[in-house]
Amino acid sequence: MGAIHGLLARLTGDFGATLVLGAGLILGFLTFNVLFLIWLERKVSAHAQRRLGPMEVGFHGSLQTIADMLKLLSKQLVTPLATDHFTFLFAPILIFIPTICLTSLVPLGNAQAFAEMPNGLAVVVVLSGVTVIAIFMAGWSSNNKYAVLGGMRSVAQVVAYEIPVLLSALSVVLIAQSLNLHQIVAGQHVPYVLYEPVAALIFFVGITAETNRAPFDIPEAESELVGGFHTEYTGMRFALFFFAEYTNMLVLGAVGATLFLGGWKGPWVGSLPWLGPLYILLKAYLVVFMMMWARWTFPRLRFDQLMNFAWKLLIPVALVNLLVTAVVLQALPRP
Amino acid sequence: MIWLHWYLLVALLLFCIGLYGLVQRRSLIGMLIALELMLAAVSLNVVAITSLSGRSSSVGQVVALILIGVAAAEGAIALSLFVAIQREVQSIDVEDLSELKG
Amino acid sequence: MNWDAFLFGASAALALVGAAFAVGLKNIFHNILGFALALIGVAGLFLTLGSDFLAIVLLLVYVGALGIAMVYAVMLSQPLDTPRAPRSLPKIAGAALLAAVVAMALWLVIRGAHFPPMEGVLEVTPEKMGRRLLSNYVLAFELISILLVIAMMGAVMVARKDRGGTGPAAPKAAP
Repeated sequence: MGAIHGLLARLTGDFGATLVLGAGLILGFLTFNVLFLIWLERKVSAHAQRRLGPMEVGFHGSLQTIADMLKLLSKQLVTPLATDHFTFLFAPILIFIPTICLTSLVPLGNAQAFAEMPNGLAVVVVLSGVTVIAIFMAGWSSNNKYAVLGGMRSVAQVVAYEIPVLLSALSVVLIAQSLNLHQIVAGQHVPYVLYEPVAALIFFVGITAETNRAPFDIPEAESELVGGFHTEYTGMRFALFFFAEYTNMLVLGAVGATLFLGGWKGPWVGSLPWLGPLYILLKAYLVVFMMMWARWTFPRLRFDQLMNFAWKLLIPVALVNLLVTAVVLQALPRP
Repeated sequence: MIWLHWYLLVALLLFCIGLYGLVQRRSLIGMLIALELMLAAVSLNVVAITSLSGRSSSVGQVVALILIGVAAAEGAIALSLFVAIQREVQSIDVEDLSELKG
Repeated sequence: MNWDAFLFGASAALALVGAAFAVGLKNIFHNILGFALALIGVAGLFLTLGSDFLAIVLLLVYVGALGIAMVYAVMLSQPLDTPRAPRSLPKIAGAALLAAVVAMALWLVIRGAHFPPMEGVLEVTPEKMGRRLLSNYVLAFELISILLVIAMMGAVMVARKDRGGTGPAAPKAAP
């Protein structure tokens, strides 16, 4: 790794080398991750329904996703005539950018992340909100009734569930006294999920909804809206939306693990620093697995139930939880 | 020209682009966009002046924060009005809103 | 190369190009995308001024909330393919003239103004801003929160379909 960095540094300067290497590593890992997650989802759903799932290609179907990817790559890209071309083509790319930026913010070990920011958590909140614009662009530019409706639903949902996510993250900020993700992890001698079980639950429900996953996948409800905002996308462009959904799952799972499950901390991490990235990954995959588990366990909500759930239940509970946290912290003696 | 002047120039251009849009647009939403651009230019101005001249203090930041809050409140009211107007008049073009014109 | 100058130039270009899109293009949806672009540029300018937190708040409120609300209003009020009325040339010329005159006047003021040079280093953390908001500026803070609550309630009331009998009554939703 050091050697590659040195070689690149000669070409582009130190900063450029870090940038190129970091982006390359993140993109490479995320691609691998998506292939793995899609396989995992198919396996989890299969076993939840007492089936076996993909078994033919590779060991227990582990190469199935690569085969699917090759198929999608070889498909013809159809661009409907009545679309708004630039927006239509740009949306699948744009939906990726915030996710990649988010990945670089997650702390991987003691003072290790691709990018460190003093207000890291606030940046995370902003970036996860910006994805919505790409969804809008995709839905609107398709010039398709179903795509527009799917896009509108998707955005209403993401905007509504962003608020409880933000509020529950804020209660962690109150305890950690910092917006810096590194300091939030450093302060967690006990995972915050034990101090803030309600906030952790709300956060989990919120990120499940933000990634548009069942039981909150109304925007893509197959039976009413065909495919939701990506109805008109074909081949690799469609795959990019799929990519973005699974990447988002992992990244938001990693943020959740950082906030509530102790981040990169774990047994023996003090003596063996390379365990840090491993721990955060394991915890993130644990959160992702729980999201999949929820998907194949709970029935889908109707759209009005979905919005009521966010506005009338999650937000008030998150607010009360924040208030209780603040009062308790004031009552406790300062360490 | 000192460094601050460049910031003020950008804010000025942003403000005037917004002004141009506000006068020339006929869609209410287009006018709101122009208005918000002007507000953003104002907060840029405030932040630039307090960060690059005079005594260092965070007053400008606080003022800008309050400005952003006001802009959000204004946008929420304006947009809900547009939706209501659309429902009544079936248009959000300012030239169709002539009911009071005797 | 001077990194600060580059960042400033890129952000300023983004802001101005976005603003030009926001008022110049005919399609209202493109206007909103241009608006988002312009605000990202302004946030970049805030970053070069060392106020990171403000940049984040700007993006969160303008792009994350206001931009989204605008798109929503567009979708609720303007069908996608309504023909757009042609703009009258005198009106455009008049608007451009007005903007140019105001720009010239303001530029003269800026050139004439005297700005004292900076003393000390400005360091703004969210913590400092929070302390200021809850001490020196607590009245403004309370007022803005009241304003936001009123705006929210007002927005819900105005945009609601059935307002106490006026307007077409919406069918009652099943409980």
